[in-house]
Amino acid sequence: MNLIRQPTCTQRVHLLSGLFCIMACSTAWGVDIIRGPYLQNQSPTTITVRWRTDEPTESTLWWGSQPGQLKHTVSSKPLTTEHSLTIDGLQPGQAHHYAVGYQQTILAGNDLDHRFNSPPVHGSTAPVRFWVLGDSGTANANAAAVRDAYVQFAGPSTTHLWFMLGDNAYGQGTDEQYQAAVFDMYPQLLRQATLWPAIGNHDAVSADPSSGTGVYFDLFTLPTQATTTGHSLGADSGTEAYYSFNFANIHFIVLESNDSLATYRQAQLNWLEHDLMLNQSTWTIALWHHPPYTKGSHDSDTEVKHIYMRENIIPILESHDVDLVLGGHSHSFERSWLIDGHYGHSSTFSASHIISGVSGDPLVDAAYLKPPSGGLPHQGAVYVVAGSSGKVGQIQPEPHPAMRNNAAHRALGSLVVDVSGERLTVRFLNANGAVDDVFTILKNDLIVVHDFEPVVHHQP
Amino acid sequence: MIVMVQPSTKNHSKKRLTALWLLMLVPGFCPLPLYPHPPSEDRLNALTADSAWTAADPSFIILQASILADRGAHPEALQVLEKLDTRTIENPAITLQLGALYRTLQVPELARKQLLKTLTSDRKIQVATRIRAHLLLADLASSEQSYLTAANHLQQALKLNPQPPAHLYTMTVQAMQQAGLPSGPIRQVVATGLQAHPGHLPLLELNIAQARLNQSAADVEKAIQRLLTRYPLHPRWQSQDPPQ
Repeated sequence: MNLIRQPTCTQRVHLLSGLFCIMACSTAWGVDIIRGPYLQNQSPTTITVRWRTDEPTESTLWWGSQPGQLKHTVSSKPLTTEHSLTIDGLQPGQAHHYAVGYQQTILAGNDLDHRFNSPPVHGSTAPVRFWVLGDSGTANANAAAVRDAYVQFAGPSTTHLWFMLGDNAYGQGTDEQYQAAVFDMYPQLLRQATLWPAIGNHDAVSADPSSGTGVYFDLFTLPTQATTTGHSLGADSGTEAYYSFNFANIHFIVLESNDSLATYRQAQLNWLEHDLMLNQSTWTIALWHHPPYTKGSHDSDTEVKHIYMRENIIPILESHDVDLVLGGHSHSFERSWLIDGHYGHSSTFSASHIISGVSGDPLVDAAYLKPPSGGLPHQGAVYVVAGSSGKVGQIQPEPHPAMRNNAAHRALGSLVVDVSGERLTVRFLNANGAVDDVFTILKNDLIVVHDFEPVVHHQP
Repeated sequence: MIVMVQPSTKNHSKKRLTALWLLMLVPGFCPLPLYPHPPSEDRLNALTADSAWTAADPSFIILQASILADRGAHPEALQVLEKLDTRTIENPAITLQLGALYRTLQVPELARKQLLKTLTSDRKIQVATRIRAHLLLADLASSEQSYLTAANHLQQALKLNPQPPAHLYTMTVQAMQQAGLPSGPIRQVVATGLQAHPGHLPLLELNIAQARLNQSAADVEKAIQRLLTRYPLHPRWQSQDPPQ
């Protein structure tokens, strides 16, 4: 005799409904953000916000002018732990607040801490500050000290955007290593300013630049169609491995220096030529991992990636009058004079390559002067190695003669760059909060006067 | 005010740390040979002195050879690799590393052998590994002017990649052109590339070049207009006599 009575149809419906409610509630109670939110791929009118949850949920992003007044939303139905939503139609140059979550549940934000500023329209001369980290991926006290020094230095002022020059997560650029070295290390900045990364050799262990696959490419949203989407006034790169974008009157070019496939390298060169041909910004700043000139923990005379970039990329950049070139890989700080036209071994560097032999610091002697952009090529660039945001390394016995301070500076630190109209100032901020080096580049017609009236050289 | 978050720390064994650090030196893991943080002599000594490794361990041998390759000591690196019994290495991740290393050492026959072994392995292979093997094989073939082989590998890489970057299309088209393949399939690759990357200038210019090959003035004009719609100020295409 069967003592267990089978449930009726109605009872079955109630039972299933109950189970569904329990499952839904348990999911909702358990959901937590375990990464981010972090800002990506920003243009004057768009931004992508990404975050990771520990449970799959739908995705919702709210935004507005004030916390408590997040009147706009964008959402996505598919359940996922990797959330990525893009806002379109933002007003350039405005402050925005946001929150992230799912359906009607806010998981983070709607407070003063979750905010961003949309960039001004391209070409604007509004002041811009950006922070540059190189080889910061140690996830240790060194990286934290460099971060804290910048936080102290910046105070309440806005960091508009920030860069990583590669080797963002040691030792193999895995998802877990990125969590420790990037997402756990810089949570505040990640949710308030857009991070623009370059790929380093350690990141490339878990990612393949030529095919655009792997952890690095999974983690970041970068402008593959930058011109089409309004991020850039250059050309669409069609890849996240190398790309360009504009911010105010600056054209940023992020290149890839790891992969040695010949046709891939040629493709990057072809795109770069197009991009620079179309670029009409006041400032052009290029960055990648392997610097063209270094005698830090790496030697640009003997290591092929450095040599390749120097011999093949620098001539193109200089023919389009690049202003500033940033690299990492060597775990020290080095920076050049205002130089041009040196593509060979360091022993061939001579005074003829130095466009300006002043310090670049107006308080010491004078800033570097360049004519307004859009004119002549080969007006000089300053080359900076800043790969000491996570560790300091050995240096080569002989310094590179292109470097103003000669020997590589073995100090933990980062770069703080301020651009205001036609003035660009770069500071190397060490981990103790002191500025160890500063230089300024000015773009104006004073360079014409300079030939006849040296005194204007000394105007800050 | 920045919220200070302590980075998560993990206790790795000495062997694991060393392995992670040394693994970076393997060209298969990184598309290019990497360069010493300490000078390469120190790295080599550190590796040899590390008792965690056994001399017969294939990874140990590959790492040793990689360090030598980094400093351009190709004959010495090859000598080290002679200790390997490559027939016993079945892991596709390792054969990919080995193939990439042999490519760096400019021994294309051995590189090709290992890369083909990667592709034909019975074991489960990650798509990224497969794509990388095809790209390396295409590069080897191109350097030997075997453009048809290169084109085939690149087409395979395109098929495998769910979101191919634009340069993968231009690399494929270039190899197909060099192989003397008919314009129909080449045009198809360009068209597919432009669907995914409508604003990619090298693809837009390839589209014009294909239209010219077709000797249709209307198609050429259409292709030029397609480029100028995206890039109305492109200086190269402003004149009445645009570049060939």
